[in-house]
Amino acid sequence: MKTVTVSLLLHDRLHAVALRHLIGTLAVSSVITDNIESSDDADLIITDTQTLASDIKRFVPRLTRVLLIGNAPVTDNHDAPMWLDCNLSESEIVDRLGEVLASTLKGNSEDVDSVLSQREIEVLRLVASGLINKEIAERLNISINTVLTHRKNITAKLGIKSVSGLSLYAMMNGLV
Amino acid sequence: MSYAIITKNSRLSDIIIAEPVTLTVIGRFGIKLGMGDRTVQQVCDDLSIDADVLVCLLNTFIHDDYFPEKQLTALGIERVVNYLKKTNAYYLHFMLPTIERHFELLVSRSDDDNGNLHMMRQYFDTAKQRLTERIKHDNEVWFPAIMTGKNDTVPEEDDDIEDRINDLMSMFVIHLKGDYDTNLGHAVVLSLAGLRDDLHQHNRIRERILRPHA
Repeated sequence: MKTVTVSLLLHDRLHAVALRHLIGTLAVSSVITDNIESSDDADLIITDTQTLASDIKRFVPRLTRVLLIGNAPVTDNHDAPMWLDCNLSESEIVDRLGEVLASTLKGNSEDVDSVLSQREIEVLRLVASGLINKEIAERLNISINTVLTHRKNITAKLGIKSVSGLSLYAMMNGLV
Repeated sequence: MSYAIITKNSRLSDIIIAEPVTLTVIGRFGIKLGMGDRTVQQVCDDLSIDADVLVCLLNTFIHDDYFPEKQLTALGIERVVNYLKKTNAYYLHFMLPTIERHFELLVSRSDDDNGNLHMMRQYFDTAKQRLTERIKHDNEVWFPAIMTGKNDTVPEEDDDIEDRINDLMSMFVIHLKGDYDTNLGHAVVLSLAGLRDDLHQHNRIRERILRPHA
């Protein structure tokens, strides 16, 4: 099961305790911290406007990961943080929190192994290491035609054609 | 909206409104906005531009499946080289710096933890370096050689730069992760798309007119 890391940075201790328990009851595997330093790496940062305003420079580059507790304004700015409106009913608050956790989890799960097959990942690794098709075929004990088919499928799935582009993708996804 | 085949009697403003990508082409001929309702021929007459060259290039630019090889060859190699020189100058002095500017802002205003953007920026720098080297070779070696009838300096056929720009766009559109400034992200993708499309047209003329001539 995928784990979502949540950083709870709340001025109001009662809110923090309530949310910690609520997140625990929602069907996700979660790691919850309340240290501002560790919020840099968190998948989701739950905070209030007061805390946000106290260290705005830290939060601005991470706004798309921030869930603000308070009275939500009407906005259509996609870069704005998400809101958990305090005026919602109890069931609406639970639903909204579940929604945000689910979408955070979905964002984390778009890993390379959900896009490419294991064999394609092996071929991609070898392409990124600088091997030519003939060498890849020998290394994996498959025909050159099979290598070409894998490469064609990789390009179709990733939208990346050049060897340098495939190498960059492999690096960005920790394959090499 | 797409425009049918352009002739010397077409109204230039209609073409630009329907196909704004042609702005880069008319800019290279020194044609400015505010052209009124004059035809291609009238605008060209006022600025002493060869209307045949402009019509031929505009059609090539907006119709990817249209390539008037005979007409382009008939223009003479000097005119074709001059146009390609202008496109190279435009990449060097406008398109590449614009992408760089957007990229720098994007990296500086995005999450420090977003290592992907730094890697993509380095990838762009390499593509830029390759294109700059190609332009240097064009201007200092290949184009002068073609103009003087020497054909011993033909560069290798190279679509790698176009592929790299395309791949970088895919990196943004399909694979970008982490937090970033949305508007600046879009600005980088749009400026990359402009360069890719223009390079594609440049490469078509380069490979199908210049290389066979050499």
